[in-house]
Amino acid sequence: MASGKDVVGSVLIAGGGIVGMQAALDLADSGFYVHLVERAPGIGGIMAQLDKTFPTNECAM
Amino acid sequence: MDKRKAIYVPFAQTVPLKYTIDRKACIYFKSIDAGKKGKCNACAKFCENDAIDFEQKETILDLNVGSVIMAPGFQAFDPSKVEAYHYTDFKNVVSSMDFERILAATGPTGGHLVRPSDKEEPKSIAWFQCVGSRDVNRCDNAYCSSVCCMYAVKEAMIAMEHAHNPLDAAIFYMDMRTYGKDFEKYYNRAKDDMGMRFIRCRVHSVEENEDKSLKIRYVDEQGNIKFENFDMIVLSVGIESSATAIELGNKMGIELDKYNFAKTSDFTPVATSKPGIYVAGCFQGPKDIPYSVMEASAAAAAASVDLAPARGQLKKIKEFPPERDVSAEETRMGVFVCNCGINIGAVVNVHEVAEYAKTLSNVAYVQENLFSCSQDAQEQLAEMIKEHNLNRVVVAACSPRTHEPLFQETMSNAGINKHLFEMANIRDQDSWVHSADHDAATEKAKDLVAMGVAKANLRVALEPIEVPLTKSTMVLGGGPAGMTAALTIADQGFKVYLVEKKDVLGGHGLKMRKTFSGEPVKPYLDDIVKRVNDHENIEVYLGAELKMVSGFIGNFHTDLTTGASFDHGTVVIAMGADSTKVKEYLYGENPNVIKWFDLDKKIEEDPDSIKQAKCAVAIHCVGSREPDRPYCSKICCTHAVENAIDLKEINPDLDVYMLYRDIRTYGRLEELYQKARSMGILFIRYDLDSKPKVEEVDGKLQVTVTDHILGRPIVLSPDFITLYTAIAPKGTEEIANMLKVTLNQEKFFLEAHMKLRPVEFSTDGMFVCGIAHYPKPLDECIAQAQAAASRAVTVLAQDKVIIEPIVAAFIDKEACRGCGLCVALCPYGALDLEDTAEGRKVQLISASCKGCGICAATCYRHAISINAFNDNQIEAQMHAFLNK
Amino acid sequence: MCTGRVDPALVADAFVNGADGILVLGCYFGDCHYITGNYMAKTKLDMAKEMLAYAGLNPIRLQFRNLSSAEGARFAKHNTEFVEQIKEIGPLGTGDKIGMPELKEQLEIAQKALAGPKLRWVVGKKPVFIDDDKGNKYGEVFTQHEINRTLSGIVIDEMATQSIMAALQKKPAAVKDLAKELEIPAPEALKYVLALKRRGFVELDGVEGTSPIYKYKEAQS
Repeated sequence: MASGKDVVGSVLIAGGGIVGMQAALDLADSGFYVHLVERAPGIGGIMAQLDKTFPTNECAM
Repeated sequence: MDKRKAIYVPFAQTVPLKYTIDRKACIYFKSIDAGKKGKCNACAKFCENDAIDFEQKETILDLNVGSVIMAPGFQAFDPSKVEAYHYTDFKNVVSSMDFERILAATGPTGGHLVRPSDKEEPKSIAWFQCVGSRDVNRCDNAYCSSVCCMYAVKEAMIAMEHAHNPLDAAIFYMDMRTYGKDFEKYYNRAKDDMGMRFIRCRVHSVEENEDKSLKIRYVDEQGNIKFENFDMIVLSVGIESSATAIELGNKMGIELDKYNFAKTSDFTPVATSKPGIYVAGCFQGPKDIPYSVMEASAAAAAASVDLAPARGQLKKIKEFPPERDVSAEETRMGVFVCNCGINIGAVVNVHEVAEYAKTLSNVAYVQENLFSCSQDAQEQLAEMIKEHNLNRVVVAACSPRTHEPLFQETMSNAGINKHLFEMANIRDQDSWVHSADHDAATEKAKDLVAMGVAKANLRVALEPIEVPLTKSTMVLGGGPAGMTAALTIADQGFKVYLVEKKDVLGGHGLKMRKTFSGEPVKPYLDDIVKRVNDHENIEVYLGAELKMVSGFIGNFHTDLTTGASFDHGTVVIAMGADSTKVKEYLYGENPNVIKWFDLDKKIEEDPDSIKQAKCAVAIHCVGSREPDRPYCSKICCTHAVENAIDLKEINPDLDVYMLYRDIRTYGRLEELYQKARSMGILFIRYDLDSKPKVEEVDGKLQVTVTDHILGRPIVLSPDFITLYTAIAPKGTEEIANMLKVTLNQEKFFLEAHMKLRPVEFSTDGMFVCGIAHYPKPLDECIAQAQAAASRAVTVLAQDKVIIEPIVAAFIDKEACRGCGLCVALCPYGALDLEDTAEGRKVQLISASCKGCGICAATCYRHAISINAFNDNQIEAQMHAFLNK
Repeated sequence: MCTGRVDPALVADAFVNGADGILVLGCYFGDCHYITGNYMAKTKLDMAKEMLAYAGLNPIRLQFRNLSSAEGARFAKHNTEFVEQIKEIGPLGTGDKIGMPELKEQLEIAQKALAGPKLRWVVGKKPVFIDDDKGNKYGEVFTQHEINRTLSGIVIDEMATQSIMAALQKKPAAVKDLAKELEIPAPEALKYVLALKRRGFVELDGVEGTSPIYKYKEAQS
């Protein structure tokens, strides 16, 4: 473990899909600053293109 | 699939909800990119807010960060590469991603199931599995994409539900890989209850008929050539890394595997080859949503372990204006009726509903919106609250499940307590389901608005509840999952109490020889046990079980059977599961019928016996995928294949037979299956209704199994038989009762949400990982443990626990006589009795309360109720509807 | 919130206010989001159903069905089926044991009984009473059948008691007149009236001939 002076308390996340968003939320809730970078003009990723999800047939939105 | 304009919103719920310009389609940019002067400009001239700026360019930002998480996702395989299926030539051959859009309400067909050629509803649809997966002939993707079997069943299921006429849905597959939690039941439901057809084969070719329907040619299991016609074909395309993801990986200097997924070790499943850079989701390998979400949390945990000393260094806190005290004000309600584009507006007469709302009691202002959730509508909502001095708001739009938090935040921004807000769902519960009857839908919308207004009239401001927090956690179970969770939390500076029933740490890890990618387990296990034992923040209790756990999130107290006790703020359950008892296949009667871990031991300790053997048989799915235990144990197939390879390597002359139902070597594990087949290991499939028969003939083992290709019984005389027995939970009921968490029907722990909260319980402060959740291989257990740790740390990193006030509350404390009936019925132990100056009264433990309301429905004194759902509010809603 | 939140008195309230049918949809048993809430709901609604049926309501009008939150098609199917069933028997007061306005009166009485403590106690304690490891205060464990029989008895007692109170609230009466009006045997009626008197809900108003006349006493607890 590095000492507090050496490390920067922020994380870069490449990808704003469901994974990037979940990681961002966890880190932000744990007290870190997050830079979430996404190529597309909006976050949401591929899950947003799905209709329902298995095995519960819930809406992906 | 449909035409998209050059200026577009990616999808209706995207964040930020802003229009963007497609550079490739815009006339202006096309001329610029061709080196000419920009032409057109129409949009800039017409935009009232001057929001079009063609000069906007990419800006390069320099960021200084402590860690990086790569989550670039995947791209769907391009099915036009498989020429035999004519994806580009035949209109009615679509990819599974196209089909998702056809099913979606927001898609090009508005959710109507139609085939592309003539917009008519198809009567038959075929799904072709493994397009761009498990295929080295037509592409280089030897791996299994892990998710296509399930999504094909899902698409077929939804299609059958959407269809107005009976739909013939047929799935052409090689192995049905429904290996995840509750997946097998889903598959059974499709097959047995819905009549979906499953045909085991890879389709040879597709031809187009004159009416644009499709004729397919395939060879069935018995080797007969067959032809069938379908109105539509869906190609279940696989998952692969995109060119940009690969480029990103190369730029970051991380190692990729031969399929261009990020390379990781089974012991550090989210760490790339480069320290400080982590990976999650499909860029690590093909996987489904829950496991991706799990990995996301795992990567967050791995990153925060590195950065723990800098926690809070750059934290920013969102501030809201002070809240206006409206308790003494006269009620002034604002009603906002949403069109949701055409989602509501095309069915419900929104104007009529709005006019009706004006007649309701205390309504001071009514507005119609196109999209109430859009950013400008939010700003306007805040303005209207100020302008008309509103102190209650009703939004008649979509589901509070998705949109209530957004509106509540706007309330807070406008200085009004967020609980003075109510939603009426006139979309999901009205316009979407009554699209055929506009008048009735409009009447129902009025009812829903009237009910919303009736309730909002009785809403009161509520404040969040704060409770203190003990910054430590209890981990239950000392196997690889438990130890990983303990270390991940302890490394971030929080105290961990690790409780293990046995006298040693290690759990099932002690029995494992190697991981599925072939990494030896022992050195890893020795190391992690040492690190746990040496860690200053971890207290290990061996030979200990839970005696009593009391308290609630942030404030648990546990007594162990050893007499030890401690306080903790969160709980991680990693208590594992066990292999099951077998009563078939002569197990226990003949010493040469053994279980899988016995074979591991044999390979390790007695290779000579294998060298002398002539024939070995493995029986898969022993006790799994049976009516009594209708789930797949997930790891046995791979383990069986791995063991078979080892047997063959020890003794190349050994005949190795695998009696299986489906080979479920998902993801990269497919490589092992291919290797096994190339080594000459023989795979014979059996069905549940024709299970193999094991007998003892003249003191020797004899197995009879019906071969599906030959259609006749085959008799084998093995030296030994290995049974791949099911994995089942053990003792979970007792723990679930004690901790007040939920189990599924098979007694595995049940997470709060299958997709989005895969490692936590709906009971706050409780987390789950490892095979107590569901059988899974070591690398997945480790990732899940990191994820559980990450979620636990999001609680422990706070200064206190903040609880939403939708909990049991007194509406008339004087009326309570302390009878204790509600105390006995509370499923969460959130109520207790206390002696007060006014006599015995119920005591509320808000942090344990989940707001189910059983107490409120039980109290005959009407002393207790649920905040925001009290009797008066419910009654008012009911009366607003019934007495209209 | 859970179906366990559905207060039987609220159910009666809805019928009193003219609802033609009430469908309660809860999780599958063993899969409850709130651990045991749906069992509670089922027990309470069964009790409410028995009470309301005794009051004259066609029991088809109150149903509890199981569903998971993800089964949209099944949700629609349940609703459609239920609506069809209700349409078949017609609006409240048709297809029931008694017609309007008597039914409404009886439902109001049932509502009071459902809001009272007695049935709530028995229903609330049911899971404990039939649990092999627990039983009542004296360790007696009851069978499902015994509990249900007790419940049925209480339903009858409570309805009679509330009916007497309602009748006396309108005008003081002698026991034999009450018995006639409520169609219960006179000795039974006397038993209820005396119990009510003991609990302070009813008092002596005078004597007419040889018959004591009772009247309603305003509640004071």
